[in-house]
Amino acid sequence: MSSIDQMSVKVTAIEQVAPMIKAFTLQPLEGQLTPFSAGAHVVVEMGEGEQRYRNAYSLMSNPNDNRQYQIAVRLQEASRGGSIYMHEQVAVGDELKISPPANLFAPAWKANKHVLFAGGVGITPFLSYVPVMQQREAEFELHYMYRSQQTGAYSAELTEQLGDACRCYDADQGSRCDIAAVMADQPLGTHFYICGPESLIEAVRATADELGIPAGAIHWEEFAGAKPGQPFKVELSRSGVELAVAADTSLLEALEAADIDIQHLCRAGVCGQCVCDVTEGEIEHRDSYLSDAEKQSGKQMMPCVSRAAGERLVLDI
Amino acid sequence: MRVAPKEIQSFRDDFTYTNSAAAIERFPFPFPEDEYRYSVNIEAHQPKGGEGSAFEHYIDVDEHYLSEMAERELVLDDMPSRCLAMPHMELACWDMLERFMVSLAEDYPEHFALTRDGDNWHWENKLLHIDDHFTFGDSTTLPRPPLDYIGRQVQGDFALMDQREGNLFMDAGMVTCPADWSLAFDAGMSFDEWHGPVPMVHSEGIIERARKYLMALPVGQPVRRLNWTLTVNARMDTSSEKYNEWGHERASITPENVGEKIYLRVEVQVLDRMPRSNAVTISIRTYLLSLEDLVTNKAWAVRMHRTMKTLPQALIDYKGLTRFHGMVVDYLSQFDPAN
Amino acid sequence: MQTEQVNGVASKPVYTPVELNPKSRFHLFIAEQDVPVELQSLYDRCQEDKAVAAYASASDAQLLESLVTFPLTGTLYLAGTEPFLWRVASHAREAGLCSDQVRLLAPISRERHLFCCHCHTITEGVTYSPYACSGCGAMLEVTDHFSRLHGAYFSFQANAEDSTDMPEKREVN
Repeated sequence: MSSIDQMSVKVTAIEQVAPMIKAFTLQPLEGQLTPFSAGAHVVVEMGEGEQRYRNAYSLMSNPNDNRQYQIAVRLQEASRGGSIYMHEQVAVGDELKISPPANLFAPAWKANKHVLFAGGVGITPFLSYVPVMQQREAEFELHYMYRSQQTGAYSAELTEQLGDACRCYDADQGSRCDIAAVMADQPLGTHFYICGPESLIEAVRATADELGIPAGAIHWEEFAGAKPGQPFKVELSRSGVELAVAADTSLLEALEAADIDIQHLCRAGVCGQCVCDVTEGEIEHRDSYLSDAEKQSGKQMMPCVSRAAGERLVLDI
Repeated sequence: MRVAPKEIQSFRDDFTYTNSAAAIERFPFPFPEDEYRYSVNIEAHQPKGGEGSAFEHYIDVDEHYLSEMAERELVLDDMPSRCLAMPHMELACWDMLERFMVSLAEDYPEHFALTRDGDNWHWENKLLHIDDHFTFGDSTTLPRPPLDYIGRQVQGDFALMDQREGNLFMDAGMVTCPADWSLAFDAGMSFDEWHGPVPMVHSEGIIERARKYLMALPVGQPVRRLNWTLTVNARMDTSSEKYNEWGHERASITPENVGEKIYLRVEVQVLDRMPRSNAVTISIRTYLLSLEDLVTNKAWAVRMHRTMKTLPQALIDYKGLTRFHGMVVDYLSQFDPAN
Repeated sequence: MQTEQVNGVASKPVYTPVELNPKSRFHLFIAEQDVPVELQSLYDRCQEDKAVAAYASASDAQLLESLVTFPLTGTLYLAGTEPFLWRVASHAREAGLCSDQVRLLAPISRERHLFCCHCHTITEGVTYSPYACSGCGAMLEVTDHFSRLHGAYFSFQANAEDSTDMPEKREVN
């Protein structure tokens, strides 16, 4: 989405909910926020001028509550800046800009049962699932993996609230989740959801494959945004502009820094909104939106996560 | 200027439907260029064209409001199956009711009022003399299920699509003035299946692109596209269900009556993400304008002629224009100086 | 339901050859009547836990019954007429099977069910067009627009525009 579609919100509370995680409560400057659906996210824009960041965060408050939104931000050591900014620069009373909610991780409501795997700050979308699943009287179980010296936000509250439906695994206490044991012998119509690091997503998908659980029953959301890579140059053929994309900046961020507004929703290579036509240069595709054939054709790329495979790209912008 | 609702006119039997000069002026003429081309042509549904235009508000209430609501009652009395909502679409129907009531009350305070105190809502529709108190989300507190209730108070057809399994499924709707399709038959179809009979769009990847676009539609950013066909007489209910009753009218066109009997039928389709259910609502608002009225606008007459002349045969057949397309082109040619 | 769309009406199912699902731990084979040779051959090649069922005149309740104990890791193979395939597939989806857990063999007959858009009656055993509606009697033009929910093809009155202009009889595939 372009900047005109953003809403201004005020930070009304900041809470340290785990050693590395802060929760932010956001209220609208004017009017009301919209209700949202379980699993939705917003893109938060922070900073000014050169130091401008846009990160996607799951909404973790109750979807029916339109007075405020809550998001949680994990401090990323190898952060390209957004999470450090949220942790160090943002204070109560500050204003931020957010996109309207979009949902690329909605529960499959026709499922007979839902099994949720959360890793660390990946608990956030499931915090919005829980009240809706309870309201619908849906059968679910939550498996929450974290390191209590870094993450593990809300584990006590969830355990108290959900009882046996919530299992916590604190790696710092040597507690591990036996994913295969959880997934085996689930009833027909069970769907599995994963939010966490890529390693967790891969582990659950591999286990499902091994057990013969259909791929259509597995849903995941990566919370990692663009990963760094090699620096490269990009030329915009229509405007003649040339930009340098630094190793720790995404192409989309570089375009935005040059005041080129590109539609976007997820900033994670999923939604397809930011697709750009490429006329020259090799592409390192990192998205999950384009088909294999489209990737091979080398004519399109998703600038939010994908980069140049060589030193230079030419985009038809 | 805004067009106020007028007395009830008919879209069947004696066809008393007319457009005022103001309604002709604001008609959403759909052709942006002389040569006809099929495209997704999606644009943001935001006010465009200023006060009084058909795009001024999220929902356009115009002079035909009472007539169209009366026509809808006739259709639903005759065939209640023109409105359906699968059980899992309940929340989506409430989403739609909220979206429609809030925008109507904001945009037309002289006609509609909504008072909300938590989940206790009070809705007034002064045009239809409706005044109801109900609990949001509790269907037992409304006189009819939510889609059936609000659908009878808003012009246009509605389809609600559930988003799951990487696709959109048409699992609810109220369809009383469609351009030759059947909600009862198409219910439960994926976006691609629903558009199955449309020629050309599948091989060109148009449907797939449109679906991907809609699946990523965010809350609060509705988009619209225009579609069109030609209808004989000012008949709103050109459903497949009634094709056996109106089909013969296609054979009634002569060079003498073509200008009077052929109507350009424009659908303003608004696609909107529903916040709570993540469903996508499609509103299909139909506008009818006779060729006689259309040619009072000289630029439209010229463009209409050129567009009709370059229409591919596959579309002429698909849209059911085969029997009279030639007469339409001949009639319009007299208004095109290039001839 | 591994069907793909080709040119023509995109809703018309295309049946590709069915393979055993190598990932599955349980395989259920259901035939509408006699087990056709293609289904038998799949069954014979299957090394895993397997079951076979034929439903000469099974009620939908019996079909559902057979799905009660169906495991999350199973695959269902169906053979029969097209309306049967989609009716059972629809029950299976309701029971919780994913689309890649339901595999449809090509229909054993080219008979279609027709949905009359005027009276919503479904007429069975249709092999040519136009065909008389068993509900309202209208002569129906058969189309390729297919509803998986109804297991039937869309049809409309063939001579509605000109009562004297009845299309010539043609076979439908």
